[in-house]
Parts: sequence; C-alpha cells; structure tokens
Amino acid sequence: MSELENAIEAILFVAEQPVELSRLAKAVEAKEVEVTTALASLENRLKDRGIVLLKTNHRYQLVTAPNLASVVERFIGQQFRAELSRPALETLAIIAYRQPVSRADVEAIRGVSSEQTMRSLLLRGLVAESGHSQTPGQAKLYRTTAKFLQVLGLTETDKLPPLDEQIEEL
Amino acid sequence: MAYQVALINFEGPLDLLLQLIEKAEVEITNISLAELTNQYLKYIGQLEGLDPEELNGFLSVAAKLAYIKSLALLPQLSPEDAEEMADLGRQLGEYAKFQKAAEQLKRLLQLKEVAYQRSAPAPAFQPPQTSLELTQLQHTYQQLMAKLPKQSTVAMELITIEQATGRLRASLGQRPEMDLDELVGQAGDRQTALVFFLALLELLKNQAVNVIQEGQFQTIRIKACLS
Repeated sequence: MSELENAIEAILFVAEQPVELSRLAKAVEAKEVEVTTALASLENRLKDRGIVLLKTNHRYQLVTAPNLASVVERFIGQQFRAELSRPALETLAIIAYRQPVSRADVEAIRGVSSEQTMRSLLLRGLVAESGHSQTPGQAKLYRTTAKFLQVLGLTETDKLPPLDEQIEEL
Repeated sequence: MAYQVALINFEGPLDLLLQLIEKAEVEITNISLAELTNQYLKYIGQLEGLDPEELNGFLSVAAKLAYIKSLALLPQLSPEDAEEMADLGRQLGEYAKFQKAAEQLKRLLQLKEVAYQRSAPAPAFQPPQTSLELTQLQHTYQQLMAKLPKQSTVAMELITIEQATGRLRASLGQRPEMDLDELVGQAGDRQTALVFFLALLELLKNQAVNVIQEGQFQTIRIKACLS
C-alpha cells in the first residue's frame, strides 16, 4: 500500500460527503489517473473490513459495510427506511439503469406522467439533477445519488442486478 | 360474450396492458395484443374522472390495439404497417423490463442492508489565525454586552392563592366591609390582583364572604360572613 493510498484513505475518512475525484487529486497533489489507481487498490484492501468504498459519478465516500447495518443502527439509535411506492420504484429503476435521463425519457417508458414521483425521489435525495441534455430542449438530466447506493447497500451502480435485456421480439 | 372485469390497480395505459398480458399468461405478441383489445377497451370504458391528458394516453394505446387487431384479422394488408405495430410491443417490452427491475430494487431495499455514512460532522472549530490579546477579548466582550438589550425589570415573586386568602381574611377581620376596587388597588399589579380575585372566589365558595352588587357596573362590596 502506497503513501498516496493512505493519504486518500485519510481524506475520505474525515470527509462528510462524497469527494469528487478532482478534489481528491488536488488534495493529495497527484494526477487523477494515479488517484483512480490508488482508489481501486484501497477498495480492494477494504474487503472484509467494517467500511467500504462507495463510488458514484466520480465521487468517492467511505461508508459502513452494508452487512453491518443492524449493528450500526443499534449504535446510532436510528435506522433509515425507504418505503417506496410502485411508481416511485419504477421511476427509480429507469433512472438507475439509464442514467443520466430526463423526465421525458422516464415518461416515454412508463407511458404516464412521472412528475410527482420524480419530485418525491428528489426530495428523498435518492436522485439528483445532473446537467442538461445536449438536445435542443436542453432538458434537465437526473442521476441516482450516493444515498441511493447507501440504502440499497451497493458500492456502485454497476453492482445493480443485471437488467433483463431480453426484449420479447415480435 | 361475457368478460370478467375484476378491479385491478393500474397506473397508465401501458401498466394496464401489461397486467392484462400477465393475467392471460401470454407473451407480448401481436396475436396476444389483438386478443386483449376487447378487454382493454372494457377497462377504459370504466375509467371515470380522468383528465383529458391522461385519457388521451389510454385512447392512443387503444387506437394502436385496434389497429393491431385489424391487421391480425386482415393479414392481406400491406406489411409495411407492421413497423408501426411493433412499436407498441417494443414499448411494452421495455416497460416490463423496468417493472422487473423495480421489483429487484424493492427486494434490495427489503434486505435493509443500508450502508451508513459519517453521522456527525467532523469538528469544524478553527482557531483565529492572528495573535489574540487579552484586551481584545475584553473589548469584544464589552461591545457584545452593549448590544444586548438591558434587562431592567425582574419578575416579582407572585403571592399564592393561600397567602392572598389569608390577607383578605385579615383585612375583613379588621373592618366589616371593603369593595373590590380597593382590593385591586391594594394588589398593585395586575397579576397580584388576579390572585386576589381568585382568593375572593375561593372565600365565596367556602361561604366565608358575601359579595353584593346593587346593579350593573356598580361597586362590588365584599362583606365577611358572620360565623
């Protein structure tokens, strides 16, 4: 394990929120490529530990290992529970697998207005705005957040269960 | 022909169609869609209170279904139109895929394996950079105190109803009668007057005093009862 890796670990330990790769690189005075490599090594080193490395959209965060949720909850005296309606789950699924997406993209798939469910997901901090599309309308685009990964107990969106890509052909 | 139209909860036209397909246990094909057309129409016939925009979505899918059905019945129609038909099937397939994904997310949520982030913010106190003199601290303190509103009045301790009752009894022991204005005057402030008034009511209840008022807005006289 390198000094760089330790420095990154220390910064992520004190950070209260996911840290952007660029900020991390600046803090440790290294190139982003080097930081990415060190992060991969750190992630590997954290296997079988009480904390894991969470990554979302070039942001990194140390969080407690998902399988320790009950112990942590007993200690902090509270637990996070997300009860989501079916429309909210559908909307969340579309954003998670197709991100970044606009609300129109979501509605095209669901065939119904998704304004309210979108707003409730934004309020819960499970999705967030992430730039605008390059198309003429410049629609707002949405992504899932670090909190989304936290409540699902995933370290990155790539770890989502594979989407059943098999479309019944006519 | 009788259709069993059980009430199901659906969200939008595609959801309804997918549920019908699932119930019929068929694949998403043009033939099955054509067969489900009547059922679908039956359902949307029951829809009430939809706003025009929502209804529009249901009708647009209904139109596609009717078209698909007509093509199934008249296969000699030009096959180029099949492209348009395939659209609905593709859309349904896509939606079905995400409904499954939504189920997966739900299952993950139910595992309750939440990863927690640091709950308390790290200490954020930063000592001042410049060297600090004791006199500066004193000066700052005085400035701060000058800004604070001056607290001139200290709330007086209120007398209790028991104490007031005692005082009232004592007054009435010395002279046979007094009036309420006098009593209020003696009290000095409003809160004490209120306590005296409560004391008076207490004595009245215990039949220790009599209260006389000749007419409206007349002086209220208090007399001790002879016991």
